[in-house]
Amino acid sequence: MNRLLPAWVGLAPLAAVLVLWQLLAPANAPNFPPPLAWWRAVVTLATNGSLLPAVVETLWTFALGLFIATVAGFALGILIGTVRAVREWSGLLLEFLRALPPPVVVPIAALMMGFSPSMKLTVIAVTAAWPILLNTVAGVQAVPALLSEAARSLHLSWYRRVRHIVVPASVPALLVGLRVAVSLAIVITLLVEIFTALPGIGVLMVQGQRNYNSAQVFGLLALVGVLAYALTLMFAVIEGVVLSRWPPRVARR
Amino acid sequence: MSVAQAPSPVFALRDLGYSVSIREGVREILAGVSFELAEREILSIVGASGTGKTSLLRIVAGLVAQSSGELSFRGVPVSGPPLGVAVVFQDYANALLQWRTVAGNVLLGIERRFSRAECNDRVASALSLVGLERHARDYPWQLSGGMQQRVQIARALALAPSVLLMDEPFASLDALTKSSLQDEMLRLRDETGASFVFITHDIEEAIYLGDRVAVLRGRPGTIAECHPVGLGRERDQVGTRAAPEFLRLRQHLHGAIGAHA
Amino acid sequence: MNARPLLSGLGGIGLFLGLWQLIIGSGLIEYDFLPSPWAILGGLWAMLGDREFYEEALHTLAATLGGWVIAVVLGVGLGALLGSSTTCRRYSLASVEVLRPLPAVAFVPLALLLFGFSLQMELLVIVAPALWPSLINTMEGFAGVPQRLSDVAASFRLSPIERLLRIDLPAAAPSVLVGLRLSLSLALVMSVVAEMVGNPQGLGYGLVREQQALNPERMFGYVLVIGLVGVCLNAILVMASGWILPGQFRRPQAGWDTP
Repeated sequence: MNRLLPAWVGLAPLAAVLVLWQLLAPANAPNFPPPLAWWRAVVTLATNGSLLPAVVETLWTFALGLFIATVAGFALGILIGTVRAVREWSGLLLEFLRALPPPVVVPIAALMMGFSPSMKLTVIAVTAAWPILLNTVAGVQAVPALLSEAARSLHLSWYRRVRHIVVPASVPALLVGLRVAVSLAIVITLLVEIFTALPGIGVLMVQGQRNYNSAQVFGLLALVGVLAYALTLMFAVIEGVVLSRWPPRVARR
Repeated sequence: MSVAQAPSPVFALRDLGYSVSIREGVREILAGVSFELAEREILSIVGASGTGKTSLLRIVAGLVAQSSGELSFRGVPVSGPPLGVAVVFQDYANALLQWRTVAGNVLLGIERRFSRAECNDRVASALSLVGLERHARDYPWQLSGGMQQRVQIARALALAPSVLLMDEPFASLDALTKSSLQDEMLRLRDETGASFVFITHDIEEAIYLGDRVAVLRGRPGTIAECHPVGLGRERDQVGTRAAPEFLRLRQHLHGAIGAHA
Repeated sequence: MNARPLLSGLGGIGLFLGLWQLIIGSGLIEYDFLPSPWAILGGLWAMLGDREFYEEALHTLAATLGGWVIAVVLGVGLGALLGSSTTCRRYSLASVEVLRPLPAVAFVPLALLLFGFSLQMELLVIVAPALWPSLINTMEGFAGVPQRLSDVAASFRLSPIERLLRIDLPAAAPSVLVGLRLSLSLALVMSVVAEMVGNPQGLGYGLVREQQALNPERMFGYVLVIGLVGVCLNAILVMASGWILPGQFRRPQAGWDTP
């Protein structure tokens, strides 16, 4: 967690590059406009009213898709991890789907569902569910056998063993998967927007590119970077709060 | 005072055998194990590593089924963990729910079975029996090894068990913690009236705690001999360990467990 | 290795495909754009007869491997520098942490703007994100070289080069290899992305072309091929890692996940 809240001195190289860029680049450089031009381009988008709806649209779909992915991925992961037969029968299929690059889901969904908001949501949820599902399965299998025996000797029913032992014991693994899912879901959200022109930040980026408005492209890239960093940071905080109940050894993983 | 011979045994094992299938075929872990556990008795089972101590305890606890022979609890054949029997494992770190508080762990076996008030009472009294009342809201990983093992014992006691099965519970603790927990266990037996099966590889611990000491020996393991401990019920760390009976038994068991054979 | 999980795993795939075939074949679900596995096999067979398909596969492989090599050279170099010097880490780690979450796909419009529909565009989109796993893992590997080993190097009076080759690199190797593997799967993902929304060449473009031509059999054929390329690339690197580091190589999770 400390790695995400670093000493500010570490920002020096990035700051130096931006400052030098600003000082050295001509104000109307066609391909590499200076950072202040990025800022003006983003402000222009904000004042003409196209930025805010796009940001809201992107973040909302991202959040909803990630939520569905978390619930579905965790539930399926617990099922696959707990029931040995399901795990063995689905093993090879999962292994193949794991190696399949997630972006291929986009054209499949586009063909089957058309360009619609529900298609966008489906694609985000399906792709982001993978890392969560796979990590949860691994987490369930890593639950110490002794813990299940202790639970059985305390006469816990199967349901209560799953609910009080397996599910909480898999939460750290879920969070590892969620960390991957967060960055994947951002990528997929933008990809769908670029691919289908469904409203969002991705569309504004493509517009900037088509109009040869390089300042807008750089500005939105920086904006997306800031948003992604903020989301990562926010997630790290949530993770820290949840894991405060776990031994430091597990939490640091 | 000699060991009371209860008319009906708590646990009775007759010619019990246990084997597991491995790649090269079948490996016999236990064969021909017979013993009885009486009311309010502490039966120590001592053996070198690889003699099937833990397997024996898991069978008695109803966690795995024996391959042959009979096992009964108060006259009823065992299938699955019997009610009124609690287990304390050696590896406390993995036997506790690290994400639940100490009180939450003790509550695990009793919640939903009793009213909330009853549960709270049981948790409080179990924690005070092991001297952890001030740590109810801590997480296990914040406690020392000895305290974590006390949490496990409290979790077992909350069930108000008539039998406690203990699998080398003090093996990974330092010597001082170990001796204070041994004395606590003797006190608990007097206060709760429970019977104990106490598995250990430590001969002195087996004699110090036991009313009887059984020796598990060989591969497959079997109960080779069983000795009453003529030390009375009152034990203390210095006097008992210097008593002639203690020393005699210790010398005999050293040869009997066959650790250096 | 136990054969049972493999057998039931194959059985699982068979069951899945069989059910899929049954549902589509029986007309239980009438849906134009979800072909049966048998029809997909037909689409794949037809594709294998096209010269175009091989050119596309070759293009994607070349772009993936080319981008991967650039990313690895940059990532391992920078990672080794950051990992072995505390000062370097102190004065740049925050920049790395800020830049790393930048979503890779956001580079597509920029790359298109700078390079148009070209291989350079694809390489930029591949290298920008594939850099990070190599960099981070190499850095952690080098930073994690035990103090005891550094003491050994000092007491043997090894030169910096000798030290790098004999102590640091072997000690960091397991971590570096994990980074290389993650970078490679990410490179494949990004080359497919770049071809889907940018450079109209390669398997990613083929996938989108068949989707737009409403040709689901061939589209799923491309999905299958891309998945197999992913499985193969990953398997090759896992095998190479085991060969480079016999014994000590812990089998890591396969896949495209960033660390």
